[in-house]
Amino acid sequence: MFKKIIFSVLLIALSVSCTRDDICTEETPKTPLLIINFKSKINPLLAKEVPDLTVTTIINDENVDLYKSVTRDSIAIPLNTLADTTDYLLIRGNTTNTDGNTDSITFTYQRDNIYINRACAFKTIYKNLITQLEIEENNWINEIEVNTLIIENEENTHVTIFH
Amino acid sequence: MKRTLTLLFFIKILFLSEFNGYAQKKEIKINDTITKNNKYGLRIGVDIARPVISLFDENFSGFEVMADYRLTHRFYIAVEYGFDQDNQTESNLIAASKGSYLKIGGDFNAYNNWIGMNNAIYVGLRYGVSTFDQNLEGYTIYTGDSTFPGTMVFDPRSYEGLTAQWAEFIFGIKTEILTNLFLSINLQLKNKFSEDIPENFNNLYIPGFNKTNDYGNFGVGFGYGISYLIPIYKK
Repeated sequence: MFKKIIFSVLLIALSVSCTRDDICTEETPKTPLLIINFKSKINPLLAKEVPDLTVTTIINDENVDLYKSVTRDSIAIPLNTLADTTDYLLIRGNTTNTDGNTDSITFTYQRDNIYINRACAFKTIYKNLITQLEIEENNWINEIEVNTLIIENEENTHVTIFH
Repeated sequence: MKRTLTLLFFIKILFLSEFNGYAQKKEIKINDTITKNNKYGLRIGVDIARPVISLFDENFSGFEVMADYRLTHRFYIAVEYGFDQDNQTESNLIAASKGSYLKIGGDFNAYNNWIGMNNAIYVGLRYGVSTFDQNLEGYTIYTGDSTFPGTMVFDPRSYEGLTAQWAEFIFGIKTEILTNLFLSINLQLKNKFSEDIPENFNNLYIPGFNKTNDYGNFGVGFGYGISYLIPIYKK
């Protein structure tokens, strides 16, 4: 009788001591990336790929490329969780031979840090996103539209860029 | 011949009476042993693991006092009262909990003692309640993306007057090392059934309940105590 009790107690103690909450798993909902879709300025319902697109941000005076010379109609980029603004350079037609056309966008937002769990700590959700396109002589971007005010997951498009 | 018989008779009576008397005395002695060694009384003690851990682990300090009272041959009512402070310094979270707790319940001694011994292999149940404060000092933000350097956000928040309640199963051993002085070791399995969850945070450590688990209400603990029995009566 007592051997059984001791055994079951030890078994429970072992199973409890090895808990899942020491590891932050990949499936845990995390800080969302900003989902941007590219659409045609002529027909706003049509997705339109950007040829040889390079997406760059500047961190500590250094250019960091998130996408390099890709041709696609949507991108997912992170917003800085430690600041209320993030600047991005979207370069169209950037190949090894040509520099392409650079447009600069500033994303401004409010941040809310939400508790996830012990292993993952917190995540950030963004509210009241505002985009600002730097106007120059030769913008390839025609218009930027914010589709959602609160960015809390990656299920929907957050921003649409018409070009 | 007649004289010899008479003498033998007297010797026999003498011996018999002697034997009778001895046997009687012995019987009385046995009775005494049974009755006088079942001590009933109040046993009070302290947990010795917590002060030792407090000395070596800078993130923990705590103490616990305990008492039990023997109701029947096998049943004891038992209480524990303690104070814990625990700092959770993890790579992605810095938080601290502190507060006091009370546990009330009973123990059942399943061990059959030899005459004159007072050891115990026991199982017990407790109702536990804690009131505590939690402070969140800093945290990291989980992005799953390494573009922007992640550093700890220092955003101190304090949550005061939180409470939690749980049920506890105890399994342990008590040994009398000197007369009326006991050493005990026990393992505790806890199941939390009520708690105040701080807004946009969680209870990481509850005094008395110990570390919480994100995926369930289970908790574990252990105790290592030294206690003294104040005998009140014997049965």
